[in-house]
Amino acid sequence: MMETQLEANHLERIEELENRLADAEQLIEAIKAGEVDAFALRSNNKSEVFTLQSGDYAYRVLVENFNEGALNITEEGLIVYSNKYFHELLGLPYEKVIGTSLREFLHPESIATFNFLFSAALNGQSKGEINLMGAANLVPVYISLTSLYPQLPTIGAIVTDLTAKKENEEIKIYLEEKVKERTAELQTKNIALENTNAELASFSYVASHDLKEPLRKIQTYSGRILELENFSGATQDYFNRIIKSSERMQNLIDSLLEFSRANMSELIFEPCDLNTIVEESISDLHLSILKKQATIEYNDLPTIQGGHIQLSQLFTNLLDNAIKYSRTEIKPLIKITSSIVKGKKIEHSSANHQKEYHEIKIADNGIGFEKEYVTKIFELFQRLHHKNEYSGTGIGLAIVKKIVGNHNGFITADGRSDIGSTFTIYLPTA
Amino acid sequence: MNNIFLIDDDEDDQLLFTDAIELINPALQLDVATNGKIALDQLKVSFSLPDIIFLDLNMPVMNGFEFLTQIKKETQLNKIPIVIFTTSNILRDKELTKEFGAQYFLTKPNNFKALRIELQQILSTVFASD
Repeated sequence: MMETQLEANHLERIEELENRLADAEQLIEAIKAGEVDAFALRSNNKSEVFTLQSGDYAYRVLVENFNEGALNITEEGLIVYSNKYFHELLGLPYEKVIGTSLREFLHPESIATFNFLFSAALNGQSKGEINLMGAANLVPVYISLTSLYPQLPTIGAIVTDLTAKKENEEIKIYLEEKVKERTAELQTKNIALENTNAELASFSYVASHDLKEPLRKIQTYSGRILELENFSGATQDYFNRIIKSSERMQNLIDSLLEFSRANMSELIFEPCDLNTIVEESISDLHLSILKKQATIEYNDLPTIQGGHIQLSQLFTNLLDNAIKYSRTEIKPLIKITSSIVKGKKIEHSSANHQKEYHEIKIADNGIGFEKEYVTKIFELFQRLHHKNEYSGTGIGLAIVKKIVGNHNGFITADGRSDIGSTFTIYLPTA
Repeated sequence: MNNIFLIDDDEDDQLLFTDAIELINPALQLDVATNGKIALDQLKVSFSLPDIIFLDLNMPVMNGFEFLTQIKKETQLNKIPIVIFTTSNILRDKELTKEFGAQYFLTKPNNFKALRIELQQILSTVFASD
């Protein structure tokens, strides 16, 4: 019984030793293949590390294939080792680099920096940026020098190519400068524009006033002559034509004056009940409404923040337009409706998706217009009709657009010939 | 017999105004001054004061607003009714001249007939209350 136990113990021990032997053989194979640089053995509860001479091979492979330049330099500066990356970086064959002083590859302006870094490295480590002269071009690099003393009487260097980074930096600096230039240009232009705008506003105001004076005289004198003398029918007709032409010009000047007045500087925002404003416009247009037997329907219009006078003019112009461009065979019917819509639901480049808008529609059953004029009708002096057909100065809708813009909104027009037109105003709710 | 005093630097307006007054009633007496300063100097030494003054706003040397301010201080003159006679049709001007003491505001019409009719109306109102 005792002997059997002993035998079993031996067998177990043999198996354990066989396993350890297999492990050891595997390790030796690995060492032979250069797969192992070092190994640790545990004895007496302490690890002992054994490095292997053949491990250098692995390090060489590593350093040689490094994606950075690696050099070994003597204390005099001679390159005794260069990896592939470094001589390729310089664009030179290996033989031209090995045994040459690193100083020969320095850009003249980098010599002082390099000497400083190199003498610092003799006593330890140093890092810095220098420029190298490659075969074809200058190569900006970041170099890190480490003294390998006392194991080796040399200095190790890791060289990082900065070409791409420098290029990026240059591009960035270039772009920044460009942006600065453009900003300055724009600022100058902005100031010039503001001045021009102010000049234009005052010019058109003064011009309108001064232009009106002689015109008023032409009209008054013509009327005076007509009242004084008994002219033939033809002469009377000519005088009436003078008066009519002057009146037309007067209207043009008045509209221009209105256009120049419809600017931001005269705008004071206050709560404006659009129902009241439409009522006022209707009372302003009382005569033409009566003449054309026009009906204007509106209800539950919102109260918005805006300039009372400008909003009043906005509705007067739009209603005047709708009454003026009515069809002869049908009485004008104008409907004003309002609702609230989300900015993102509006198909218009000016719509802010974050905002909500009052959508105010002014729809008529008038002569309408062709699709191609959708944007044109808001331009200054654009007339779609001959002045004999419909009186108009071509300024009314330009004023409308300007006023809507002053209220941070936008306007669209939709029309169909001989069906009617719909103007839609979008004003932000807040 | 009624006296009218027009203060206006514009020759055309003087001519047309004179013409219209002549048509309304040839017997009406009309004096003209070309700015507020001249008018004020004349009025201060005049023996026969006008029954009504027509005053332009935009004039050299002394404009209509200054004239209104000055005449207010003159106890012999500040009872004469004043009609603003101007090209302006700005509401602000209308309200302002009222504050300065003007009773009427007549925008110079571009139609002679309208001028004649409006003048006639104002004159008959003012002279009726004499």
